This record gives sequence, C-alpha cells and structure tokens, in this order.
Amino acid sequence: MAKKILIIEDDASLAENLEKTIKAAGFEVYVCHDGETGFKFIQEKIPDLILLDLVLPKKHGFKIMEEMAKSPELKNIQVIVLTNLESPNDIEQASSLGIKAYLVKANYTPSEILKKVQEALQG
Amino acid sequence: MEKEHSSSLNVVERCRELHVPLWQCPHFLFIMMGVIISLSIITTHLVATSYADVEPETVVSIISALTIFLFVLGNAIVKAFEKVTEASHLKSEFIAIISHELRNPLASIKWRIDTLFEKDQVPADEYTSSLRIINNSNEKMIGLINDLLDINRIEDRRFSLSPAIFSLNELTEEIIKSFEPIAAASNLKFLVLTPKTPNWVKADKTRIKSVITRFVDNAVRYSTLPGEITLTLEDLGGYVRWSITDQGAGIPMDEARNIFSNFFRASNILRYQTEGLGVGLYLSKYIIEASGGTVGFRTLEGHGSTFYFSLPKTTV
Repeated sequence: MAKKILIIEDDASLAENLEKTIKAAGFEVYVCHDGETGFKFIQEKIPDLILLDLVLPKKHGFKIMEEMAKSPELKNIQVIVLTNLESPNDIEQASSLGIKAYLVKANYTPSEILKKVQEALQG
Repeated sequence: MEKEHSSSLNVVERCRELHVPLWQCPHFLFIMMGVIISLSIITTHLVATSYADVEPETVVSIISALTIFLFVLGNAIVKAFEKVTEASHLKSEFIAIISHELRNPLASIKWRIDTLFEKDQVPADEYTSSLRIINNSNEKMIGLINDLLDINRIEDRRFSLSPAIFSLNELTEEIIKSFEPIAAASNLKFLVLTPKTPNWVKADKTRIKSVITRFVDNAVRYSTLPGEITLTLEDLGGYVRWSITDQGAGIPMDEARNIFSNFFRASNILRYQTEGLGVGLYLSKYIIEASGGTVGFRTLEGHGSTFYFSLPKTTV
C-alpha cells in the first residue's frame, strides 16, 4: 500500500510543485494550506510522514508538533520540517521535538526533498 | 586609514555618523565623565589650598553633589550601551526577517526550474504557468529590495521626491484597470466614484502610484469574498481626498494603533504573517506627508476598513 504523505504549506504554488514530484514517485499525497486544517487532517487520517512548514496561518508548525507529541497515536508520525527560517533557536526547538530532518526550502529542490522522504520512510 | 583614525578622535562627528544624539553616545559620555573627574580633582585641590579652614559640611556636600552627578552620567553610559546591544539584537532579527522573506520567492523559483529540468518534455501550459510563477517571485523580490532601500533612504534622510502636476483621477483609473482581472477572478467589484473634472495635484507621480497600488492591493487582499471595493475622490477645497473602502475583516483595535509604524508586522511575521515586511503603510504615510498631505483610516472589526489620504490641490 502506498505510504501517505501530508504536505502542510501555505504557499499554494510551492505545495503543488512538491505534491506533483512526490506523487510521481508513487506516494499518496495530501496538501493542507494552514496549520489548523493540517492538524485536523493528521488526527483523522494519520499520515506516515508530514512535510511541515513552520510559519503557517492559524497554527504554527511548532504548535502542531507539540500537540502531536501529547497524543500516543500521533507522536510516532515522522516529521520533516520544510521552512525558510534558519535561526539556531528554530533548529534547536525543532530537534527537541523529534524531527527526521530540518530542510531550508530555498536550499533544496523538490527531487532532493523526495529523496529525504524516501530515506526517512526506509530508515 | 588616516581618515578612520581622525574620525574616531572627533567624537561629535563619530556620534553623528552612528546616528545617536550626544547624550546617548558612549564615546561622548566617556569623555564628559573624564572631564568632570579631572575638573573635580583640580577644584578639590584648589579649594583645599585656598581655604584652609573650609567647613567639613561644605566638603561633604561638594563630594555628594559630584557623586550624584557622576552616578547620573554613569547611568547614562550604561543606558547607551544597552541601546547598542538592543540595536545588535534588532539587527539579527531584521536579517532573519529579510532572509525569510527573500527565501520564499527564491525557493519558488528554484523549485519550478528544477521541475522543468527534471522533465524531458514539458507541456506548453505547464511551461507558461511555471514562467508566470518565476516572474511573480522575481517581481516580489524586486519590490522587497526597493522597499528596503526606500526605508534606508528615509532613515538616512536621503529620500527625495520629484513633484510634477498630474490628474489624480486619471492615475486612479489607470491603477484600477490593472487590478480588474485579479478582482474579477476573485469575485470582487470596484465601484469608482470620481468626479468628471480632473483633480490636479503636484506630487511625485511614481510614488503616489505606489501608495495607491498598495492601498488597492491591501483592499483586494483583505476583502471578504464576494465583495465590493469603493474608491472615492472628493474635492475638499484646498485638498483632494482619495479614499478606498473594503468589506473585509477590518483591523482589531489593539493592532490599529500601530498600523502605520515601520515593521509593524515584524514581530509577528516570523510566527503567523506569511507574506510581506510590514513596511508598506509606513512608506505610504511617509510619501503622502512628504508631499504635504495627510493619511488615515477608519476600521470596524468585522465590517471592513477605509483608508484615505489627501493631497493639496493645484491648477494647471
């Protein structure tokens, strides 16, 4: 069965671009454009991996991760943070919340991100 | 090198270069402290030698007065250094905001190009839509850099305007025309209430155009759909008043107070605001006021906002 990937990204064009690349590799891909609908989706559908932006309308990416950590069913979902923030504080906070990778959007291409997704799901 | 050396000795010049007033400039305060300590030593010596039988109370009050004065000065120095630390903190925060805002369009461009490269054959419509996104991202970055340079010019007092006479009606209609496709696509209607006779003003047309564009863009961006945006031009005797009313969400009272300040969104931007630097209204206010006008807004949360500006009228 194809693994479920959720992209939470408010920039519609970036989300669409990434969605196409990951879908083409045989994954089942879903997209949410704000933190609140993203978190609702996580609770209902329990994806295998989340590509999570941090600066999001309605609910910040860290808030989503904090709430996931509190729930036994959600805390084991793999998370790859995909953001354009790069302050030491953000990286530290993300690591403390147990992520698979912290990727700066402007430094990775969709195909490189796909590779990270595949690695995370294998390892 | 020599110039650098001489300017570091010329304290007043140095403080001016650093854009700090003298009483907040550590360089100046230290010299003042040195001068006062030296003067008090000399005065003490003179008093001691000239008046052998000086009262102990007088000595105590002189020393107390000097101590208080030095304490106040010392405090000012500490404050000045705190300011320096704060400035450095603001600078790193500022760099974080700018890099975040620049990286968004940069990522957009990079991803599109990568996707185009990855494919052997790209369908024509995908090619066009990718180019459009790349172009928009590019424009966003150009706008960002221009805003930053303008802010910098304002702070260095180098911001200049080149006034010329033009018709505010004509400019408004021209801008509205460029917004019509976006408005139509998002179910918004423009209602333009301008008089038939042109309202002439003398101002920097390019700058006023940027102000109007920002106001219209904000109205479109924050409108609840479907909706109506009303633009009005009124003749108020010596002034022409331009205003735009949207039916959007309005602005909460506690935020409304700061809406024209520089980098107002800056503190929220890294958390919730996902686009823009929060300098647009600040720049607009500056431009209108520098052109001899005034700017303001009314808002009712849940019912929309009206932004307006007035400019002095002129005749051809």
